[in-house]
Amino acid sequence: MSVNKHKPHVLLIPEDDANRQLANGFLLHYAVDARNVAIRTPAGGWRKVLEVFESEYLPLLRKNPNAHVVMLIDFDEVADRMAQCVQVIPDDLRFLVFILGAKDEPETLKGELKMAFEEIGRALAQDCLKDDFDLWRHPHLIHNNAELQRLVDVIKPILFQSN
Amino acid sequence: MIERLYVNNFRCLENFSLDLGGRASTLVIGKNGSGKSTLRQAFGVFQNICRGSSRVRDSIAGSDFTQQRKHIPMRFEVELTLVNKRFKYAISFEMPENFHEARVAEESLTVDENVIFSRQQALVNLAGGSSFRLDWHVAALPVINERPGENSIQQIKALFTSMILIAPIPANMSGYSEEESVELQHDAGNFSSWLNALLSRHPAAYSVLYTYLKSVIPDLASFENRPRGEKGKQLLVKFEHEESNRFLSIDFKQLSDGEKCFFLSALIVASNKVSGPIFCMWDEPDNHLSLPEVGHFITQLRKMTNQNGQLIATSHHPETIRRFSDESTLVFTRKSHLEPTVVRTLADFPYCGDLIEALVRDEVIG
Repeated sequence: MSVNKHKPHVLLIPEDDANRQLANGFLLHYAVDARNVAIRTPAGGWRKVLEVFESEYLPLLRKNPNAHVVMLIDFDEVADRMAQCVQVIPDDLRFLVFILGAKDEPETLKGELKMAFEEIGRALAQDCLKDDFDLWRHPHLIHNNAELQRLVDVIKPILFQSN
Repeated sequence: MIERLYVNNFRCLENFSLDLGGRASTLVIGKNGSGKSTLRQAFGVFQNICRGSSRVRDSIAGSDFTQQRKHIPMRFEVELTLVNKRFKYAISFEMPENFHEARVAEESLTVDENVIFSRQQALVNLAGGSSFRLDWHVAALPVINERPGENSIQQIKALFTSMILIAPIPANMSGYSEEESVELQHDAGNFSSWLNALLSRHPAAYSVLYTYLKSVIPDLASFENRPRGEKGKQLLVKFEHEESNRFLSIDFKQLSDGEKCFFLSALIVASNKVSGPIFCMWDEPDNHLSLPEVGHFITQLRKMTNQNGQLIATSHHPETIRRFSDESTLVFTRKSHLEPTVVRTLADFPYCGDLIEALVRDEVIG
């Protein structure tokens, strides 16, 4: 999926189809400039996300200062999953890489919210647009708070730049 | 928004119900021959009735009856919401022995469950109690005039007429036009006539078009019509090389097939934005596009729904399929050419792992 490599852009790696559908919903929000985002084929597991990041995306980040990477993974209620993921990110590139995901898996979130994945994605985008992070404070998402703060600073201007 | 379509005895669509309620954009997938393109032709029946000729034979042929079962009426029903009113239009056709063309068996329009008109063969009954006879080879919807102050028939006719039902053939999109048209042909061959009609009625559409096109064709400078022949116009597209300040103008027909599809998509998005919600069914919108463009192209079309537009796309392309969710994807299946099309949402098919891999393994559609 091509984006304009000469402008800041986001490369998104979803762990699976559920995370892919969440991302689709986010991009369908009217205010999101979807052309600045490239969604990769679902990697097929959080470990695969990290493998893909290391083999395909690390070289891209080294080559292009406009590139940013967002990994969408399931935390599977594992407390140190974030630490495991951060280990593969070189310190000098950490500011360009973001890791988000449901506390367990998106299916649990979907069941609790009684919303389709795309609806959840749109709602998360709406929260970002309005700087009102209601849904992001849901018990299944609240652990993303630190990454979300970084996202708002770095990624939001790329995604919502025409607003 | 179209909420539901029901079709019976039309080609492979038998007792076929398509529930679109709550789905502003829908992807239809299925194997070759499963009925995806027939769906577009079914919507086309409503459109044909309201565009030009209302003669039944211009919409339905004897060969359209499922497996030549002409003794069973062919029926089309559509339910839709327009300006907060619920419309239901139904028409059925029959072809008695020794008839050379089908005739209308029944036809009706209700709005919020109030009957606007109903019809049995040649006899048409209006809401006020009056009735008249009409050639049974002609649909009543396009010929009935409403009482002053009522516009239900006009509203549904406008929707049917303006529906965009396309399987574009870029080679037919020359950019040459002699007159404006608000009705886009199924092959999009009259693309420039449609473009000219939109721009003359809604000049603001140019900026929407330009912004869209500039994002996918970065060296686009402008596009314009030049007189050609006695009364024709040729669409020209101008490109610029920013660093050297050089320009190049070429005929629209010289663009690549994919670039023509960018123009078509931009025009559909612009039309939806400036002239009101549209209903678009695009058969394989990813045809002719380079791999990196497919996802963005589909997302842009789906975003029409943010302005109340409605999209149905069919596709076999992995990138397109990945741009929809399990809830917004409908799967058409058909066991054989003697069996009817069956429709279910992708969410009803449990599959393991990656969706595309499951489709390739034939695990989903089967």
